[in-house]
Amino acid sequence: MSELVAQLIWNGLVTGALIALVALGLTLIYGVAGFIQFAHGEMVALGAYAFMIFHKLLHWEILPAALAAVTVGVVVGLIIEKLFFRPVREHDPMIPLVLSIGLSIGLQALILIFFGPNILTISDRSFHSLSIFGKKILATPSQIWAIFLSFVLMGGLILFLKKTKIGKYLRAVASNRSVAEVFGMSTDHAMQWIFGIGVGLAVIAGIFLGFEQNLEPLMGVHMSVKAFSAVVLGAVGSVRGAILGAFLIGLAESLLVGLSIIPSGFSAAIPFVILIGMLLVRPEGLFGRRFENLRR
Amino acid sequence: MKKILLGLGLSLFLFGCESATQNTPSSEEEVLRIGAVNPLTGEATAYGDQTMNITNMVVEEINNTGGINGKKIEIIWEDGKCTGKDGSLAAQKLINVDKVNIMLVSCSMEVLGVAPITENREVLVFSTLATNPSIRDAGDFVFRSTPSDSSQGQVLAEYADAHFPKIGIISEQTDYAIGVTDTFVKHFNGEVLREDFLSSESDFKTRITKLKNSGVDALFLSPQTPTKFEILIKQLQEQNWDKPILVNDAGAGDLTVVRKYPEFLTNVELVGANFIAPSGPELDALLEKYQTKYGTDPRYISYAASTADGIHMLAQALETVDDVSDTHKIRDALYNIKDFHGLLGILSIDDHGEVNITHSLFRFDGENFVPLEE
Repeated sequence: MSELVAQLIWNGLVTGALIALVALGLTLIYGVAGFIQFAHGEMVALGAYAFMIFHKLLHWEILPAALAAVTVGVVVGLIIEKLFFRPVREHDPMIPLVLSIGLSIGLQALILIFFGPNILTISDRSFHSLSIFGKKILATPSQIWAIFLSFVLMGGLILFLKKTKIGKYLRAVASNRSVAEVFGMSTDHAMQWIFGIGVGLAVIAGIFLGFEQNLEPLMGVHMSVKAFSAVVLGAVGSVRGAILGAFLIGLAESLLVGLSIIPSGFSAAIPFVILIGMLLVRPEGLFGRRFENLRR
Repeated sequence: MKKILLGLGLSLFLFGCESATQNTPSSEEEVLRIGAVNPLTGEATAYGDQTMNITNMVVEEINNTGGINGKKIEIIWEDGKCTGKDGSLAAQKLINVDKVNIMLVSCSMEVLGVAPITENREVLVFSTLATNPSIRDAGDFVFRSTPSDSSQGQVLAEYADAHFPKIGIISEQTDYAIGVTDTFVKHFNGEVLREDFLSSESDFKTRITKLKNSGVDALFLSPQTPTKFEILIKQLQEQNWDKPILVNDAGAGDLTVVRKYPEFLTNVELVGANFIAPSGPELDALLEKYQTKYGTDPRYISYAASTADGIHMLAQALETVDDVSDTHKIRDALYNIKDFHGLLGILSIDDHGEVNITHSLFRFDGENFVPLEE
């Protein structure tokens, strides 16, 4: 494999790992709550800015600053669920969806008010790139950590949902909320878990994104657009689908542009082209149940 | 009784209205109202905030020294968001509601959106920020104190032509950045590998990897804002980029970004185009005044100078006309501005409403941009 292809695959994996962390939150929230949370991208930005405050302004070390940022993100996620989404949960799904769009715009405005429109760096430290895999690939320490941690978190999440009592309980609520409630399972409780986990993952993605691309108020929006495409590509509500969709988008962006298969100006359109193609061929997504089976 | 009270109330109301209308002309006589369309929200506030601050600072100085023939200038700010659509909405409001006949319009897109409306209504437009080449022919009532982007594309291409046979380009897909890039490509005779990106993109790893493996001799960056320039520089450093870098004035006009990467940028050599040397006694005085008033340095020194010069040129033109409500007279006075001593140099306005300044090349020495000596 040439150095160029190896580097492009690595770049695609890094992008895919970050998209996957955001897409997992989106798909989990949809699975349990039944609507797409459009303000999820702002949780990515919130995480990055919170980390910047703890690490750069308050001079905390990276690990405690990251833990503090995740804690802040989870608390904000829980508050948002309780204040905004819980009161409208039983209404038509269009209402929480529109509410989430409003929330997204409001949170963007808050970031602009508090931090301004200018780009901010997440850390004063500079990290030198490392040559890995027989010096074929150039990677920053944050990229290596992003890949490692996202795989650990993705694997951990799948095991958590399959093996633990709370995971089974969340899947039961996602599968059939009414029946789960009859068996004494609280939807409120499940929603709090899902928002906590989803926002926590988005915050971690935000921190790595901050190291990769610095901070800007709309950083979460751009990432959530890709994550949304990944979720639909893999099948809305499917954890494995979101992960596979994210890596497909990350690798496609990197390889198609890097190998000059398509002009670089069309790079941003790649997730949507894949998405449209998928919807035409297999509208239920990669891991979705076929509509014919569902109808029977 | 009710009718008497109603009649009394109506009389008082009408009297109040009459008093108000009688007061308005006298207050208007003392104030010259100028509209301003400027990005007050969104990413472009990086430019908008500075333009508003410098304008307010210069207007305050003019007002404190007697105003325009005894009239104080009052600026009415509206948000154009650096887009043609929002710019034209803001202009409609300023013309129809605030009844202004002079307008400061900041971004290129705002000017190009506003010009068809203002030309039709014979409202005078003055920009201290817009650089798009199309503005040259935007209208008879449109003026600016900034040079056209075509000059920087050309000067950068001539330098690249003399030093590099093959050049890579990473260019943002906006009117400003594409304008500079297209002029560069037009004047550069060597081989070009061009990579474009949308403003919503922030991940350039793939494009950098591709250009690094293509054997280019140098890289030309054409971002719209210093925000994108910084992301590009950061990712170039992470990808161990080791060839010279050229940049438009979105990158070369801002010291905050380059000062974060002094070692990397001096090792690879960064050459940028700009239309003002970054220091000088008069410019330093302006920057110091700004620092004292706003507690921060202006980010875009060249545009700080073009804004200050633009407001002073407009004030000079207004002082020479006997009727500031006649935009034909103000327009003619602006066309007659010759040999104006400004921060940007000795300025004259040509018959397209443009100032006679062009871009030069500067090299980053690890601390400042210094004139490139060859």
